[in-house]
Amino acid sequence: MRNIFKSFTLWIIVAIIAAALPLLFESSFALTLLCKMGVLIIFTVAYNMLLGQGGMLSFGHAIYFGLAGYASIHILNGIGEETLPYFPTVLFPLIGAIVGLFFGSIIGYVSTRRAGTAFAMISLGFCEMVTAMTLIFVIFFNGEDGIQTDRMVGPEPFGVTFGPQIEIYYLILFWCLVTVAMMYIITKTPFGRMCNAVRDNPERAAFIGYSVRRVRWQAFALSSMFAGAAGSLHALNYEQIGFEAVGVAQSGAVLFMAFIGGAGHFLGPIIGAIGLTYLDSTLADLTEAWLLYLGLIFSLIVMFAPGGIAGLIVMHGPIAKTNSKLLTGLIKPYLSAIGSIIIGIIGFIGIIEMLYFRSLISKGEGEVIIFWTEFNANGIISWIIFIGLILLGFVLSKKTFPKAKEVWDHAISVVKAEITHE
Amino acid sequence: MSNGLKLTNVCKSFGEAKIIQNLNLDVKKNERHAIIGPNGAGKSTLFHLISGHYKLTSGSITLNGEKINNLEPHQINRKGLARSFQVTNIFPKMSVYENIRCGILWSMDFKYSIIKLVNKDIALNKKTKSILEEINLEHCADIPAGLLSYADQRALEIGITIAGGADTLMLDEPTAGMSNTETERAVNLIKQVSENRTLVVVEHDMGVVFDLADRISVLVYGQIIATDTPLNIRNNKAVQEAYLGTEDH
Repeated sequence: MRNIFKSFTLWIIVAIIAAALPLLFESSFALTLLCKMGVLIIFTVAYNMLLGQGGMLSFGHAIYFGLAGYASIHILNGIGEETLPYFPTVLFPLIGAIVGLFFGSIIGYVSTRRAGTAFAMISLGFCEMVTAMTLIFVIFFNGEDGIQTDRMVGPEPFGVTFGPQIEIYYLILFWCLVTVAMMYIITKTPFGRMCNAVRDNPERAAFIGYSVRRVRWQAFALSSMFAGAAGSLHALNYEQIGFEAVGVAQSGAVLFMAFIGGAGHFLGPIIGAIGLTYLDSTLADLTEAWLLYLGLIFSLIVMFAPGGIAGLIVMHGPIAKTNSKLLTGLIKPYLSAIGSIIIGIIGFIGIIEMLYFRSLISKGEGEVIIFWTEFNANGIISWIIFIGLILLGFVLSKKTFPKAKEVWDHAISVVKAEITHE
Repeated sequence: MSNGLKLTNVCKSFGEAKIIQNLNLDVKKNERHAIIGPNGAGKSTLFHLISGHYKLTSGSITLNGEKINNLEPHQINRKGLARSFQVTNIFPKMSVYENIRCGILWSMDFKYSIIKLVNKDIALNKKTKSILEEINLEHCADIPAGLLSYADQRALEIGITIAGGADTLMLDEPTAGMSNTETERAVNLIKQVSENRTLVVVEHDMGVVFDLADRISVLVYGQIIATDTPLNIRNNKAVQEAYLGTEDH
């Protein structure tokens, strides 16, 4: 009973904080950002039903997101032109969910016959196919221009028109809470548990009576359904949709968010969606090379922290449980390790920015602003400074990382001793 | 019906290679039946054929009188046949408790439900606990299964195998790689869980085989050359020549 209460209050607290956010950050930039985050949280958690829960790597999940978006916009236009009967705007994500479930069931039936690399390739193939269709079937997709709509249609119950962005924010927030809660509950059902079992060991799962294909297919269909709900909200949010919403880039973005946040944990994709959406919106203004940094972050996570950010946090759970002193002992070596790597990264960023600057056509006098400081990309001194920083970071890392690892190993060995002692 | 598991004229070829040829095997209901044979005799292939992992080239297999040789592994499992694997086959990232609980789900008719909550089902969790007690792993219920010792992982695997309530168990080398004390513990566990069940076991350790089995079948080059009680097998000339040899026993 206490557990239910605890988790339920947690949801309420999160809901209240999220509802209060627009009051704290009044700018329209913040509101736009929050709306985008809400939509992408749903999409990423839905995607993680496949990647994290079911162990299926898809390169084409934007199909269900995007197609639901297209369908929603057409229906909004239909209502606006009075060729379609009125449908309450609040319930639009249901339309998206049905569209997602429909296409997810069909494509999933074909693609979940195979697992692993073959599954990934098939998903990529379907994604390319749907992207091509957006350019071929112009009547429905309108090619590269995409289609627009006006979300203010039909009657206005309680004076809510969904015209102002703030009303859309609360609509997204409501659906975000509902769908994420549903997806969380699904992980606690027999189907959810068998998803993990199939991910861990499909052969064994078959020998406890479950059809591996059926579990994968169901995961695929449900994941597409929630992705479709997100797609509907995306369409309502922007009142526009284009071919990029169904494409490989969008599919890749959701993979990045889920993986960097941490596919192995339910909260991982949420962390990823919030973090990357924030960086995407802020860093994109600061530097043109943002995508390069994103790629760098992704590569580093794949190589050094395959559990993502959530994985790094969860890793310390057993230590915190056994002895919190061990945990505080880790802070100092961690900070010095992080510090040394940050020095190296600053040097790296400096070099990239200057390289990028020099590749521009209009170089001017060569002044480039990096970290609020003016450097001369044509002068040798700037290059020496940044290369020096990289080397310094490298040398320091050589010292601080083994130290951090040593403390970590010690902490883990204490924890292991404690467990076996019990 | 005294036949638990019956194989009739079973053949399996991989391309040109005939691994199993005209194999006949009768396993009586509720007996403990061991299959022995030298390396490469086809013991693991035979297991894969029975459990539906491989498809037969020809012949038929019946379980409790029902034909099973064209079914998928999960369908054969639902007919009451459960197996373990030569390589430890558990769900390593899930807790020991979850491993067992997943093994029970289908037999308690949970199917692919996305409405019921596994934590809230009293009967399911009660059964999970009772199986954990049976295999002596209650103390590490919350630990990820991948972190268990090798012997405990094998015990857990037997736990998963019996969890679904199957009446026919097939264990593939359940004591391979274990120390003497671990083997003893494993044999006692197997004896205990195979009570009132049909057991088919492949094993290399002759001590274990003679201790455990009611009857033994000897598989050599894809054919059963003898099926008899342990005592008669020990004294069987053909078996001694083909398999036991003089240097081992």
